[in-house]
Amino acid sequence: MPEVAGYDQYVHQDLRFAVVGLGKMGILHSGILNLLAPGLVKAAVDKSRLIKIGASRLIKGVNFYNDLHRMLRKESPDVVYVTTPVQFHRSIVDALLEANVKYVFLEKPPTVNHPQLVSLTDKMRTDQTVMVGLQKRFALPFRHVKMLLSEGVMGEITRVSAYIRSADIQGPVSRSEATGRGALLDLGIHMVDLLIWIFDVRTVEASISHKIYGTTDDRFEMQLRTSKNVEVAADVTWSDSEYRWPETHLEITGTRGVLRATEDYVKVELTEKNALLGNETRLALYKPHYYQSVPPVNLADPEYTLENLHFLFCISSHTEPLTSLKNVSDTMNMVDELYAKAIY
Amino acid sequence: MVDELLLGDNSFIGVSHLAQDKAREEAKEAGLENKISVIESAIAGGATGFTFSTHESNLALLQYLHASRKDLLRQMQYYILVPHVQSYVRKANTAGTTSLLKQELRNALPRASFLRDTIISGLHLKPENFVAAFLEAELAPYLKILPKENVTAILLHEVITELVMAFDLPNLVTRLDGSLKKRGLSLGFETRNFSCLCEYVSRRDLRPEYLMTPFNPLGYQMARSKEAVEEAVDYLGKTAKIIAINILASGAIDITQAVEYIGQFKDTIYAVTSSSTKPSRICRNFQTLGLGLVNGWSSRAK
Repeated sequence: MPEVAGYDQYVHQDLRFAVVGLGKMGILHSGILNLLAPGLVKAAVDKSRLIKIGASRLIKGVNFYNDLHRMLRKESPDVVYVTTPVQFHRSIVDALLEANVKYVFLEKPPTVNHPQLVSLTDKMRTDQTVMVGLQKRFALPFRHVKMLLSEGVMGEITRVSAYIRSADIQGPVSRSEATGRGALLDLGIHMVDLLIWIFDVRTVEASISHKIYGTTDDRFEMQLRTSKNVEVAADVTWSDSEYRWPETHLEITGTRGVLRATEDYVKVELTEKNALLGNETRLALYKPHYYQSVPPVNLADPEYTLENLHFLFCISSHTEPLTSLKNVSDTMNMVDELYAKAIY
Repeated sequence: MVDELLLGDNSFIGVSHLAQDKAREEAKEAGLENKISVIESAIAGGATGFTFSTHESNLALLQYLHASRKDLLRQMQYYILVPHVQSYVRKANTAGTTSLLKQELRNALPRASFLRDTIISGLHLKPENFVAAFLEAELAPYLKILPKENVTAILLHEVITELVMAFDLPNLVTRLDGSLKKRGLSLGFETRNFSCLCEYVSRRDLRPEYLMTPFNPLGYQMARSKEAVEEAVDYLGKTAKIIAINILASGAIDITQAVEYIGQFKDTIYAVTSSSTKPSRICRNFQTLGLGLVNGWSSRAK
């Protein structure tokens, strides 16, 4: 894990951090940053007066603002985390790029649609970096899956099925009404991103949108195809009460066996022994096997700390993040295509 | 030395840090009757207490014990984790954080003591007072039914503990501690960042009586690292009572490996926890933990 090796050096860079949006993701990221290096976050913006007043009276080491532009003038941050609802992302990132902020971390989904994302990449200068919080790429089981596949452990892949499910939404959601998009944009983007990253999914063959509670999609089914012509069947829901936390599941059938993976585990069954499975035909590894003494901060799922370390590592090494705005452009484009082709 | 063996509630409320599909299976098994059997078996195996979060199904279980099985209720010491963060995360997902705050204020207002505390905290503009009032309101139904002398400690849920450290909130800790002390209760911390907590309580000169943290030979959920946590346990164990949780690394190791590992620290670990939906397994686990870790276990078991 390059993000973890020597992390102590690059978390202590001389940079001013600010957070825009003090909802649960803003609190999560600022918490991780400050646990990595105490006092890293210097400023925070939230349009809610209740949150601003409450937080400013509780937390003494951070300057709080209601207005983004005022914060930018007063604080001149080097790094800004944007963790507001998605409908505000484009205008906020636009303002940050305009104000010459060099490093932006943008929570997922990056924008409401692909044209908005393109408008931001067009605006970025070459010395500006925007990383998107698609943290599933940093979950070690999924990294392991990508490594096993790239080493040809499964032989030729013949079929992939996938889902991402949660119990997050059990009623109408006001924020999805603001964008006209629901579970696919908010949650399914993780799965679409993994499918593109791991399997090079290229084509949308069919998609179905289901409404359960409101005016937008609470469930989404899709048929996709990879660049190597492999069929991929997938579904997304944020309204399945059995799923206490979001779970992303991949099942990969290859000429040499079957691989199943989630954020929690990788299980492989092969027809022949393989060196990467310790010269066995079977492998089952769980979170406790992957996350031993790592990551150095444990707040919510470990993948959040790993993505933050990756961002800090990229800032320090002047390299492009794995989930840079440019690198997730295909993901956003496919989300648009899925909505465009959906039958209801 | 290890003094207490505590039944944990993860299996009762559908939590597994191994894999979600295991948690879903356990949640299906964990009906009220099954939970009672587990508690009986745990006590038979040597468990001395129950540590649980303020999840609504735990309240239902304890209400049942209060109404029908006071014998069981009186046989355990209680270590309560508060608040139940996941339920608030879910509400925030639907309504947003600001709406959640307003909604929780509205929900809590009808409670007389909460109303009084909220007005006072509003007048003084001290969010610490509001947080204390909010936690008290969440604890109230549990404190109402549990025998007062059996409630040993109130532990701040890990997410709150980590945020206390991240945003340096010693005033909040002092306020919460003061509020619990008035009720004769002791404040503790649960954390997955134990070495950070060690640095923090030393820097801020805080002296919590109870600390709860994952502790297993794999170093799972032990941040910043297994070695750093071991050092911190050695250091803080001299002054605080440390409760080791997730001792089986979520099921990745067996109970004998856990006993062997914790045995190296048994002079600094105060309590260990175990959780299961299987009555026979929980009894066996506590017997093994008792034999391996508790001084004078044979005479205590008799």
